[in-house]
Amino acid sequence: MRSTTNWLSKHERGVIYEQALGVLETTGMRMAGSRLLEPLADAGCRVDTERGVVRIPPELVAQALSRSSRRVLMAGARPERDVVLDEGEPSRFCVSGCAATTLDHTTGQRRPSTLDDLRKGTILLDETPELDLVWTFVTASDVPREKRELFEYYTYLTQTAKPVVFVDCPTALEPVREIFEIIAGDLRRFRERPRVGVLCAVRAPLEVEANLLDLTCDLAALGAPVWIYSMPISGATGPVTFAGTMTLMWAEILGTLTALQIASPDATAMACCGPGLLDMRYTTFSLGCFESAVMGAACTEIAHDLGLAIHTPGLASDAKHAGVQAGYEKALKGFINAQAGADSVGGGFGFFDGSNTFYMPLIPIDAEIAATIRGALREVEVSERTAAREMIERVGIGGNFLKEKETRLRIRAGEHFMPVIGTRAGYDQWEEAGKTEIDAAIARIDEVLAARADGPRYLSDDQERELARVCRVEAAGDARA
Amino acid sequence: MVDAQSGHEKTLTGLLPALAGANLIYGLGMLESGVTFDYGQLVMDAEIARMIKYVVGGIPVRDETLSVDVIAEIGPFKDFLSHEDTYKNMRIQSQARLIDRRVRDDWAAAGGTTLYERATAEARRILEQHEPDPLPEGAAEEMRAIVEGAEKELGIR
Repeated sequence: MRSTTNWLSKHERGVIYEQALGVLETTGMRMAGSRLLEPLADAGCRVDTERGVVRIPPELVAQALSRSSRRVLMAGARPERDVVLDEGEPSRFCVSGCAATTLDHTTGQRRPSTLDDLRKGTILLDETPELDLVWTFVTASDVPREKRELFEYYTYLTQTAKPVVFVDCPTALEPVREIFEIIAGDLRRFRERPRVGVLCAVRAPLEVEANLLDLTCDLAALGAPVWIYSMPISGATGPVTFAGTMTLMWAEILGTLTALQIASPDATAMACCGPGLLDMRYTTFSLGCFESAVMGAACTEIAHDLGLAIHTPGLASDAKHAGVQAGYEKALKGFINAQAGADSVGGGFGFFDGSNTFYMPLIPIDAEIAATIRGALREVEVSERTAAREMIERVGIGGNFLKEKETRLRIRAGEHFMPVIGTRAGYDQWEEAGKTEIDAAIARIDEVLAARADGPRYLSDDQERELARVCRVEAAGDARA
Repeated sequence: MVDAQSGHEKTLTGLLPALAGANLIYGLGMLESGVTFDYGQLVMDAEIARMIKYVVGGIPVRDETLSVDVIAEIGPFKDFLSHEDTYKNMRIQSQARLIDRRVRDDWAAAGGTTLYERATAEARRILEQHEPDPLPEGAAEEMRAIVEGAEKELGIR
């Protein structure tokens, strides 16, 4: 037994794809200032050099798709932490990106995020089995701007064995190329087992910034998988209709993918669909809305039809605290996207406020939500044996199954999901324990951080030293402390 | 209690049967596996029920909803907010009544209330202001007479 849904008919999926192709051919995308304008023109695009607008014929998009792989390997520091995004693989969960603010659970105050938030959060994410991929999730605002980017990379790569995605595109190629060499041994091995991916975010509608695009192509040529991210706001930077927002999203993803494949043939790339809407009551961006979830699920079907892996922000929430709104939105969005088969589900694990604020106690809570989603989607064996007719007849009318051997064996084998953060205790027991789920989450954080005082090392001494040199971390303690 | 656990459990236990096509989904307002009832939770569950119905309704894909002409008219890196199409169709978006989508500073300036506080206030407002549709004239008296007759017959009073 396994759940299946269809959000779009085959005809509807085809219509959105065809209309996106039409947008690329007639309206095009602006890539003003990019060095790709010339090769795109050579390949057959109509390029308006003055405006930097590239109109892409459908056949070039089709070629780009035919060169793209459905399978994306994001390698861990150890093979057991590898993440493969492919048909037949389960949905993977990842964190969101680059929160400038953190709600400090020790003071209750929201403040700029720090390197300490980044380090502790990375450790917690590393020790959270439900989380598969680490994005660069906070901005260490206490580190001088000129040092920040490389300090952050150093901290992520030394504190987690999980694959890492650089969300804010690096500002310079050279140090990142060296980082790839250091963590993999050399560039050939990095290409085989890319431990780092990069995110290329399109500015809706229909524009990709030249430096970002050019650098992304360089990093893709080195073997870094590219996460092409489109996140129009329905009613503001995208059409108010959801089918229109999806059409725009696919035009942006396919246009960027085509440019990438022309610049770096056989680049590994995947689609990221993060549509939001403009809440017309407050004129604010909503990423936690369920329309975003439904569009994400529909886009998952389109991506898989096109032979692409896809990421959706399934655990995003607009809530301002870890209360019932966060629970509603994360469960609704996460489930819809995972059920549709999104290869990567992000937006959460410590995030709310439209993925703008990081709150560490949400990591264990989101992990539990992810575990329940996985539990709901797991294959349930339906056979004569599991139908348990013999046991039902043996126990008979008015009996109970608790004392049955089969019950004991199956409970131990994980037949029933057991929450760790949530509670199933009776009300009186729960009241007597005097512990909310936030208390349970904070206890989990304290336990993990204490246990990691002498934590695992994921890089050799030589690698760590070299990485510190390239990242201009004078003493390892600068970024590890 | 009403918290993230109730939010995520109610969403999953409501959404899954809805997607499977269940005819009736119950449990609005209930906590602790139905042992405890909470008025605020009931109002919040009504919001999640609206969301689930909207989700199950899906997204219409038709010529007019694909908005291709609008995309072409707007072009790269401009906005759709001031376009007539947005004004005409903005009500197709869900209209959350209790969910707060403001930016954090605006939410805090407006009192920083939790969803549960807003839901409980709404439940109180409903209880204070609700006026049921009146029964047909004489119906209440007739029902009262039936009850009193039954009580007399059973020797209750």
